[in-house]
Amino acid sequence: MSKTVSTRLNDEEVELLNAIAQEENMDRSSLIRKFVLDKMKGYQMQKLAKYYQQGVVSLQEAATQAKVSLYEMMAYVQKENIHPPSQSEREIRDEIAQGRELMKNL
Amino acid sequence: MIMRWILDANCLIYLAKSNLADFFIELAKDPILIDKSVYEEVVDEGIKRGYSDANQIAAILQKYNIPIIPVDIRADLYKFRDEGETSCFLLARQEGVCVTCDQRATKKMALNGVLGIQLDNFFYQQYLNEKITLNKILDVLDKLEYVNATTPERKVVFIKSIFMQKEEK
Repeated sequence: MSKTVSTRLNDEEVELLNAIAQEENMDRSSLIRKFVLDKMKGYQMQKLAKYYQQGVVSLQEAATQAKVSLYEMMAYVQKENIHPPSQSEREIRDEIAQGRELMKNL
Repeated sequence: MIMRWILDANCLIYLAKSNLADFFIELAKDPILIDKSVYEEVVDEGIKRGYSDANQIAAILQKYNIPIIPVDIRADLYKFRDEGETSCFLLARQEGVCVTCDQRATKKMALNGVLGIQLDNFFYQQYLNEKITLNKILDVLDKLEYVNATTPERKVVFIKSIFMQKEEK
């Protein structure tokens, strides 16, 4: 089910919106909807990528919560140069040691 | 002991992006499994959305006859809040090791008592076990870093470890 959401824009903004709608060959309402949805998606991705950077969520969780594909989320963090939280050398060395134990038991 | 390697969605995609999927499969002597929800997300959805990596992954899975296993995740979904991660956890819990490129996912697996290893560490262990050469591991680390499947700081520690180990020898 869809609902109508209204907002106020000044004359100049409406003029610009009309010009873009004409350029894009879209009706004004569809254009507004497209802009709002694009911006909402961008906002969600930015927010979840930040959580990923802070180590709060995995990349997979970030994609799921932002309602985008994992491919999109991967492309986004790569483009924005976002990495998971820094690990100390000690942490990485511990991980290597755990990997060694794991491989020994295989 | 025979274990099963369970690949999560980001591991599969990064293997395709780095062109290391064939090499990984050759090195992993134990069986490799993929969960159905991971397959659907990476291959079905990927193809639908036009990602070429998805076609590459589908071809590799077919080439090596990698089984796609359906898993009932309903009871455990709350632990991971994501279908793919939950199914990897459930498969890895039954004599398996989850392979991922994600720090957070590895930590969550460990917290829930399941074995997990990051992809860069998997390749590094193969180097330690003399399954791959020095040049090859350096090339693999470059490729993984290029596609964002490892971080520069992890790569530096792996390289330092390689040369420290060589000096000790």
